[in-house]
Amino acid sequence: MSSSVEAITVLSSDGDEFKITVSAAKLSKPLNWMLEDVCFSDDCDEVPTIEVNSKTLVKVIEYCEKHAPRANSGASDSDAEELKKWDIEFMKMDVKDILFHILMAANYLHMEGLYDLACQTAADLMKGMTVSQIRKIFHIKNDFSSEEQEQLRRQHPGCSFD
Amino acid sequence: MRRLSSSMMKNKKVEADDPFLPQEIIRDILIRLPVKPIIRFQCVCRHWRDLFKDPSFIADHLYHSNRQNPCILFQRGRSDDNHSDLYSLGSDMQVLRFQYPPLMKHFNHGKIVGSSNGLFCVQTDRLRYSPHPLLLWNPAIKEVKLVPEADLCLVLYPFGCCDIGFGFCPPLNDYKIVVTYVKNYFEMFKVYSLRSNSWKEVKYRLDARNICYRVTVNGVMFWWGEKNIRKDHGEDFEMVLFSFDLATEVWTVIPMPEHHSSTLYQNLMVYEGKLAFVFCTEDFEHTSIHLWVREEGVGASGETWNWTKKFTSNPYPSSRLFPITMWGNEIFCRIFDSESTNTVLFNPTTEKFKNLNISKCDVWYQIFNYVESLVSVGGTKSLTKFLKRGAHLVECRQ
Repeated sequence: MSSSVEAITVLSSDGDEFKITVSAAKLSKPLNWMLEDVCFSDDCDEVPTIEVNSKTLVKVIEYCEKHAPRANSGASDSDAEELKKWDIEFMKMDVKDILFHILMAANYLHMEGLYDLACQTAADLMKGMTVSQIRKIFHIKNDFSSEEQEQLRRQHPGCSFD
Repeated sequence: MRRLSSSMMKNKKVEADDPFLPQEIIRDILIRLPVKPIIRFQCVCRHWRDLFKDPSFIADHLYHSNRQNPCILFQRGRSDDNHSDLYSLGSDMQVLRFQYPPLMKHFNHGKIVGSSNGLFCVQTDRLRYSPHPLLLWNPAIKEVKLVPEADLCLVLYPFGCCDIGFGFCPPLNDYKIVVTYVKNYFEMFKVYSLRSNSWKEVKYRLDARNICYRVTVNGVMFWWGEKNIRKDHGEDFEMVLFSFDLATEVWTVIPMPEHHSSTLYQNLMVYEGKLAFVFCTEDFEHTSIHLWVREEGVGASGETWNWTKKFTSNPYPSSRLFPITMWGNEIFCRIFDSESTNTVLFNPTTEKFKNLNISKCDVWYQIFNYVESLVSVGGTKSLTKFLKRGAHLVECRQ
């Protein structure tokens, strides 16, 4: 593997080109494999495609670039605190618009840290939602029979199906 | 053809803006929710209602709850007719008041004697009537279960000569209560299993006194006790550690690590999933905490584990520092100075002490680890029904 390569170019599912540094790409196993393939081949004419849309890929790469130095070298506790604050700011986003796409991308790219962070963010957002809001964002239909609803009401007085 | 491609475009757009998350990702989000919204979201659909009762979901949820929000529970020492002197401290540093289940009003006193995976074992006390029933209680899901009577002499030794241990046994996926008591000068043990909902007697002669429960680690309970080391009929007691394997129900004597002779205080905790022996030494009004861990590996005399020293803290400027338990990755310590009491956290990674200002929870509080969980005690959720049963129980005895 050549060590001269510092960044690779990838295509999003929308066909846009993105550059990602080698150290940042190492946060994802599939990207890392891709990186090795690209570096092994002499003619790098073919730009690999990542099945993630441009809007999401921008965020994923931003996360990788921020977390790469710590992941590759280890860092002090003040850095860890700073990174935690950065994560909170980074995750201030809309659930359906982008967060769910990030979740799927992190899952697809095997990025444990980002996946965990996105799952926790989604859970924190759900805490304040009503049952009908939850059904809407997850595309779930209320499939309870009236008997089952009655049973749940008996078990949990005050529970709501809306 | 044009219609087809435009409808394809439309589909693609819908997919892009409004993604359908796969079931496994939804599950990974749900296991990170606190218990309250999970109870609310049972009403979303049949699949979620059933998922929240699934043992593997409950176990994964517990793992995250432990990681996300481990709590400390404070219980005021014996204070008759005050049933609600319980407080929890969460990782957000908020102190919340905890309510005992309404059932408790049928008893003079309720005392938490053990805590495991969000469940409490509560010893009740009704002064005139025997016996003293035990309860298993999950406050998060509001479940209470009355443990069947053990037929013990608990009434004779309500809070002294007998001790109660409560812990989880992973190989059997069972919760067990172990009660030690004295009968005709011999120590006896009774073991309750939540799965079988029954007690049994475990006969084993420890030849020890003052046995008290400390912690459960990976399905093994650890107790302190004083063992008679004389072979003849004489008496010469030495402090030892007993382990009780909850799966095999076998007692074993474990030597303590060799430690400083000027030890002020010693305690057992769970450190990184292992049994830890923690003790303190004093030097010029400063206290240092030493932590040893019981690790797997063949020791010098062929045993399958050995004590390994992990760290010694920087000296803390007080001679009355007491490490109580692990909270997350820090050691929760109390300082009992003559003029004030205080709580500090020691972080073994940064080697720093941090002051916790929790004035509500003074020196008189007993401390337990607590985590919100969905673990069921198989009790009834309907408290009114349960109260009726409780009332009936009281009536029968009177």
